[in-house]
Amino acid sequence: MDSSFLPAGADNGSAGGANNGGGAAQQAPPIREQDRLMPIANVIRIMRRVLPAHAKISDDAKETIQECVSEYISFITGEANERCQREQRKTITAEDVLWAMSRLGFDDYVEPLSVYLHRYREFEGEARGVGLAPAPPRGDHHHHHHSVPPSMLNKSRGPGSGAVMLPHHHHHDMHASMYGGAVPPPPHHGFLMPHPQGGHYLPYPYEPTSYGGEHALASGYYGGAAYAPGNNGGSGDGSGGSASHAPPGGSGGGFDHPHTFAYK
Amino acid sequence: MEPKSTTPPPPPVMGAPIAYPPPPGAAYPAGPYVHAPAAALYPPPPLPPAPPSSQQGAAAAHQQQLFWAEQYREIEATTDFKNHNLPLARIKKIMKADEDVRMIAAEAPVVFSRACEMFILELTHRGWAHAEENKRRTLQKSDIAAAVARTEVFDFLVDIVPRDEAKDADSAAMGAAGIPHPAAGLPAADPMGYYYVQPQ
Repeated sequence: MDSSFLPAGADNGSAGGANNGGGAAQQAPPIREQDRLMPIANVIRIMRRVLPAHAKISDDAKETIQECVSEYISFITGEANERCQREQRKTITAEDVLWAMSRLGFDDYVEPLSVYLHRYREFEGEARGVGLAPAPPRGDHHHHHHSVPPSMLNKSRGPGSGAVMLPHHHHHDMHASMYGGAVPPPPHHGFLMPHPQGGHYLPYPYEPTSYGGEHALASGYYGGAAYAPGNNGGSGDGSGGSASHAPPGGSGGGFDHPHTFAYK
Repeated sequence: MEPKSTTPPPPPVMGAPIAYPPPPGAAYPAGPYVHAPAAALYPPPPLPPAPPSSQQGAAAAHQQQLFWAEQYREIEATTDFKNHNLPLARIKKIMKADEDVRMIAAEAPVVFSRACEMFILELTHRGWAHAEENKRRTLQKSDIAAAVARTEVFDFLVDIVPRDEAKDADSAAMGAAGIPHPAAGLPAADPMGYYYVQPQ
């Protein structure tokens, strides 16, 4: 496929994504050298965000970071995939990725990424508009996604993917009851599953506590502010879509409020 | 499916004012949480030791805390979820380079996109600290190598960054820091390796 020669902009766009997705779905020939690394322009732009203006970056440092990023993706993916296989699932989910990071020592990443994933799902829900969707919340996401890259449509409808949805939904219920009605974010569903399996997952117990704390924070601010910020998450009716989105609507409002508070 | 639209409102009382965002990796400073059934399982905060010789280590740990607070703030401030700073298709291709990987949920590359940003920022940030120690204004490969050598969580990168270069880099760093530690290769046995601490 020639998709690998698309401009970086196209790569970032959904159209480019669809093309590349098609290539990936068709099990394209061995990965090209060019596809093995992140685009160097993107990498440099990110590096500069943390460097002072007068800093220079040598070419070998740029290339080294490119290599390190690909190794990082492969490292985390390998661990996430092992978990999938152990649990006889075929699809690597976002929760598997977060779990793998925690297991491999990237604990600092898990909490902000959980928040990011939660907010991303809220965004997806809002983008889809109001309307009762199929029962499994995750199915909603897939329905939205498959309209962009056709190849993902096939993947998301695979029996393995279907099998994944039910357990997640079940754990969502359990988790909700654990939190006495306060709705935790979907990322925790995946994390709950391995916890009972013993000491292997010791790093995990911290995560729900941490997020519970965040939720409490959000709840506190929400109680005090009564939706004063009037942001998207705070729209009166909350998300009318899937059941999993209605409570996150309120939760989203809570999260947006601390953000506003932080800027005061 | 359990209906949640009319769940009881969360308690508005939150005790003492809370510094926002909370320091990553540490227990929340606020009081007990009604939503935290696993509170008893808090891991102990990974505080670096504080002997006089580790003043630089303490400063580095503080730098890391600031770094993660900034990461958290940036994620909270994110409003654009359509455009990602790293192409999702490329991430997916790298994931699928592993032949054992079968299907990838659409959200996995999205999470990776942000995770890789944080990874690049952290590696660059730590590398730059090394460049500054050597009074340089150009980030070099040896700075990345030093960051990898000093940070246990980056052990998986030792094959990417030549070990000899890492040793030389760290040896130079030790020399610059005035520490007589000829065998600069850092052992991975340090449980606090994730936080940069000078060897005792």
